[in-house]
Amino acid sequence: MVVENHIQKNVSADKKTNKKIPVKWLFILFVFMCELFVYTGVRVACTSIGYRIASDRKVHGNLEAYRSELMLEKARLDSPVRIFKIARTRLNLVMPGQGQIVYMNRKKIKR
Amino acid sequence: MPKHTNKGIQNRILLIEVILFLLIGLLGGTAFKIQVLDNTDLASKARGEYTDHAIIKGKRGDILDRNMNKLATTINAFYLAASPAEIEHPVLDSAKIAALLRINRHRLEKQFKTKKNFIFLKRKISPDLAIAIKKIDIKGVFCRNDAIRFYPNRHLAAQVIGFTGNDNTGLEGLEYQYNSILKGKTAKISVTRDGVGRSLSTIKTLKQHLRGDSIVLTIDVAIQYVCESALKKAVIDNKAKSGMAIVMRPATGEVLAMAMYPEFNPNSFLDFKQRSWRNRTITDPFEPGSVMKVFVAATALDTGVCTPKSIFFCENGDYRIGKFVIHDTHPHGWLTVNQIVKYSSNIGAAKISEVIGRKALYDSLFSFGFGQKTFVGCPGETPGILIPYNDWSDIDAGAIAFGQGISVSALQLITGISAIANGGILMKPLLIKEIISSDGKIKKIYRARPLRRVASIETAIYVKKMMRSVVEQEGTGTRAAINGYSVCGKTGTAQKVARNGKGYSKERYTAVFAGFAPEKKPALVVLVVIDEPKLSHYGGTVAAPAFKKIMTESLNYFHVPPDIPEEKSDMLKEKLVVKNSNGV
Repeated sequence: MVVENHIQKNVSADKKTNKKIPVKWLFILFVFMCELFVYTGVRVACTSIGYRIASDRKVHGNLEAYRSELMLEKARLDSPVRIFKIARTRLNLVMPGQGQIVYMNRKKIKR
Repeated sequence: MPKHTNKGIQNRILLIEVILFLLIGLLGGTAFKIQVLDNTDLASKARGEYTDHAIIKGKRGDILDRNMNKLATTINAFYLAASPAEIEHPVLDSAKIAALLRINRHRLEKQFKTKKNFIFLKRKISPDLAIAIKKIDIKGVFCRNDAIRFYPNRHLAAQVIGFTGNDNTGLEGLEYQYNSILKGKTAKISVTRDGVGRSLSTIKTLKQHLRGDSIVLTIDVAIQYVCESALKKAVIDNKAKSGMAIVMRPATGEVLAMAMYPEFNPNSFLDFKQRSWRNRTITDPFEPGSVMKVFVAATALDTGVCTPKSIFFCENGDYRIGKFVIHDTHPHGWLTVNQIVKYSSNIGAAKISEVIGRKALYDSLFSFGFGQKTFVGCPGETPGILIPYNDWSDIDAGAIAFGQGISVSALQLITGISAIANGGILMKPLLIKEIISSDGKIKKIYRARPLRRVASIETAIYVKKMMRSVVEQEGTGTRAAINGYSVCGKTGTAQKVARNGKGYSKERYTAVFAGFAPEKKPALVVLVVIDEPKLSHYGGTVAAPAFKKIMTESLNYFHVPPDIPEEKSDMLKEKLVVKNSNGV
């Protein structure tokens, strides 16, 4: 009887031990799988964000180039040669001659 | 269960375990080999698939005027190139390309048949043309991005700015002198691409950091235009060979304009003659004529050898020194120093120089900056010619006194006149105002620098009065007078050396006018030099009207009010009229 009980105890102990071992490994496996998924997710997100950044930088670069072209066009439009030509030919203006510019005395104006 | 059955099962289980163990071991070993042993090689191979190296060059910096208007900038363009080795139908393809580019088809066909790996077809092509060529889609012909130098104001200050070559390296002017500052930096970077070739690198941002520094000049583009227009009119009206004009601020030495005629367009400099490229206000010395009398008078007063009212006998128009005879345009008797400057008597000036003495005269002229470079920062500057006084002959001292026998550059001359306007303090001429880095920060500022005192304040005041009298009634420069402003000036008419090198020519002259306004607090100094005028050769007739136009418009631009009181000025007595271009 004692031997049978001992055997039964050993068997049940073995069964308990056998039950414990799969749970531990399952947990480790689960953690590993989670880490794998998280890692993959992060890598994909990084790559995706990298594409977006590159795309936004390209848009920014294009806008900078457009701005440069506009500044250049502004420089061309601001050219005194062009402005003078327009003033003379289209607006019929002439440079003020002597005596055509009146300078006001600031002190007199303030009073 | 029978024992032999159990054993059989156990053996099969063991066998499967062994096989599985071996397989797993094999997998593990392979993984170990790939991940650990061959890691470096395989990683570098993988990088080679998605990483490439590129050499990128930053754009050239800009040249700006004092108000930050662009005088020179770099723009994006395209160049067309071909790889003849890849062209499949050279005859057909050359016909298509030649039609678009409007070039010789046969010559292009020859190039396509050479089987070279790379040839340039055309540079600086417009985006529209590039799109049209891309549409044709010929194998072996391709468009690539290019950066070209562009001058939006065309001929304005062209000789000062200079130009660049095809590789955007400065060849002339400030583009050449400051090439190391303006040129963009070069960097080698690795470019990361994905499976479909998209770039993940930040080339465009990096290009901005590699951009060259920009230069801000003291030049004002509006004054430059006024100067160039007036100069062009003076040269054409007088059928002259060429002309130069400079506008300077006497208090700081800043050069507001530096004009030359004939002009050229730096965007297509090869279409113009080479002699029109250089900055002749710096590179070409000339004999200044009677303008030198201003400096002789200043020297005489400063050394105390005479006063403004000291009198000299002007020999009634002819004065012999050795085997040479000095002539005056009009014969004069006794003249004061003031009158010698006003009537521009060569004999009077020669006699003043005799009283001053050679050494004192030489030292004074050298002190005013003649015979040495100004180091303004432009290439090819001439120091002019001022012979050491030990080598002067009897006639040299007299000739130098009225501006012959000495050569000066236009910049030296206006710097000397500016010293008189500035109360006797010589300022270093300033053409570069500041340098700006690629991110817009000021990297370096060039400030006004007084060099030395060349005349006392009292002497400067006296000389200003003498120059004022030149522009007043009976003076030689009345055509430079501006209503409402006290203008001080001096005319100069110098004979040029004869073509055979012997003596002076009687047909070729240099007409000069230098002056400033207003008298008491000069705001601007203007110098006009007209080379070989044909209709008249006097400075008062040829150069003075151009001076008047430049000075009038410049004073208006800077809102410098008239300094002559109302009751003395004719300005308010005239009715205000508004004229249109028809004169109504």
